Amino acid sequence: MKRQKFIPKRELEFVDEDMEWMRLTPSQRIKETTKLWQLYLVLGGSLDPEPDPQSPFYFQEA
Amino acid sequence: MTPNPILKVLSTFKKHNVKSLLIGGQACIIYGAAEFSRDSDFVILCNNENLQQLKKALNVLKAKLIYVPSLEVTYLERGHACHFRCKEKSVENLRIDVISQLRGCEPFEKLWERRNRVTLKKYGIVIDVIGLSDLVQSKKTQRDKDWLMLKRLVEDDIVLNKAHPPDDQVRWWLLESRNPDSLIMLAGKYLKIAKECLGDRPLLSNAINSNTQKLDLQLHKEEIRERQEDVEYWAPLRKELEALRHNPQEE
Repeated sequence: MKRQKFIPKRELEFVDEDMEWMRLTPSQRIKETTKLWQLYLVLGGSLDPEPDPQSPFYFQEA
Repeated sequence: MTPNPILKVLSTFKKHNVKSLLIGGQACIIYGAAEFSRDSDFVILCNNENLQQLKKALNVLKAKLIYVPSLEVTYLERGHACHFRCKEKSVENLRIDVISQLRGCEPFEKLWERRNRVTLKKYGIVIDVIGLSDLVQSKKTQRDKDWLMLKRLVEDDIVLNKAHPPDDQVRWWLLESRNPDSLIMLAGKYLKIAKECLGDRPLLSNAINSNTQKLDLQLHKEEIRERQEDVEYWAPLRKELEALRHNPQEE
């Protein structure tokens, strides 16, 4: 099989949504994440962190 | 009232003049690498006065200690983190983790000098957030999710600022990027700076030679090394925690 020559990408691949988010200012991002919190809480989301067994802080709460 | 419980924690900390910096997932949101996180992590100035202020803020949030060690200068100075769970209604069950040293990062005072501030006029809150380069450094842990975030933080910065970056920023990208394509692109565009960085990051020679395969392998090795260093850093601290857990009188 013919080996293909590696051609480095000149642009990183980000989808439009990523770019939109990145172009927001920090305060706009906080406003947007606040909207996500609103939805999350309305849907009954918990404030418990996700268990993370890889964390050095991982422990079973009593 | 804001539905964002993190803002409630931040405003309570501010109200009580707790000298702290937002780190972890919330800092990643501020820098554009994440959109949502339930983490509420802080690096704090470790002295008695600041801990007194922090305790007052935690009281308002009805935050209870959920694991060893207790919130004391002596434990924080040794590198331990303290963990709390809030019981106040608007932040019920939110966990707050505080630490005073981040492995591989400079002391709090330096982090404070390099911090960024975000003003939320609508909520009347000013957020002190860890600087981007310190956040990236703090993400070199043993956890997969931190490496994903680290990559994203650096790549976002490259994409957003690639038009006219100052040399220092290019140098930082070359030293921190974990994307072979980005490194090859940067080394091609900024060869002189890439060569200057070789001493600190020898794997850049493969970026200069456009050798993706070798570069990929060495990036992987670099990551494994950092993960191992993190495991070794935490090993004695975990041992100490186990002892404290089984013999609480030692506290």
